Amino acid sequence: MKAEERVINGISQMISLAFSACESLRKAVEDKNKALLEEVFRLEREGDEIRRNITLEIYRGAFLPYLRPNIFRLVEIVDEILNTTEESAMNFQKVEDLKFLEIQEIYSILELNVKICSILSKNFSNFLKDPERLREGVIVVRIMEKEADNMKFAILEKLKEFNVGFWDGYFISNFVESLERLSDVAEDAMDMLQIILLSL
Amino acid sequence: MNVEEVMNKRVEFVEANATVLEVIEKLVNRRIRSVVVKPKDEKDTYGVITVRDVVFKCLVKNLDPQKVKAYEIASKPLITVEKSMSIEHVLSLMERFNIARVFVKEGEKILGVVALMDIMSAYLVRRLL
Repeated sequence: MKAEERVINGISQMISLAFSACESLRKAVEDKNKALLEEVFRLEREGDEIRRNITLEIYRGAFLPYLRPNIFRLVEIVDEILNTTEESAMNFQKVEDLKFLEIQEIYSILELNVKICSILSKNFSNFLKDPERLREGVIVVRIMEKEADNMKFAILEKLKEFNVGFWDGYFISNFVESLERLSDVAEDAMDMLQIILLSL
Repeated sequence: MNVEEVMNKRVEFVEANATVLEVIEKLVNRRIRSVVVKPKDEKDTYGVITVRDVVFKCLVKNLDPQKVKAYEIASKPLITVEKSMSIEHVLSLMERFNIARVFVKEGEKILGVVALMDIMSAYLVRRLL
């Protein structure tokens, strides 16, 4: 297998891990089972290992020099999806009073994140080959990002009605922020894919 | 594809006697495009207010949004569908009644809303999943 193929496969694997991490997070929140969050942490560590291998491949000469910075930036963004999911899991783990889970939008945003990662995961190799498919993907992710943003706004409004302690409030707020940020990062990944495709 | 897969569960309600200003506040603060107006009494039914209603039935007529009540500008009756209904059927309803959204009802409870924008997103997402 060529070095370039190994890099693309690596990125694809990282996106699959991000999808699994989002699914695990959703299940943990839905079941109110914090033990399931361990899977998110494990997947993030696995993603880190793949990122290091990809970096090594690029260092050894995969891709033409002018393409390397953008390819590496894409790897970093995909890694950020995993980091953001881990951050959500960490914040959720620290919340003691889970009464805020009455807010329905939290489940909707978790579902949205799973869908975004699923779209990235299923279409990644097609996106690299087909600019029209990528264009469609960009539109869809943009719509979803806007929806996630609206949901965050609604969650924050509803959160004001809950009476929670300082630390719970702090971690709940960070949890919601990071849930919404995932769609922002996914949008960045799509933009970077467009730039890469332009340079090919 | 059916209604349950596409519907948006973010439905906000206002009392029939709420002012239009309160409605505008809700539309802006919650970043939504419509609010459901609760029935005024037992004989009344649910209604809906969109930005269109606010503009054409209140602001353009130079009426004071602090004085006009929600029930006065609400569009009625609320067009509702079952959550198991197919999207094709919903689209034909939207076309027939020239409306951009329908509400999803289970018994007397409103579960969600399906707007043209939700249908467009769902079709696009389905192509990629």
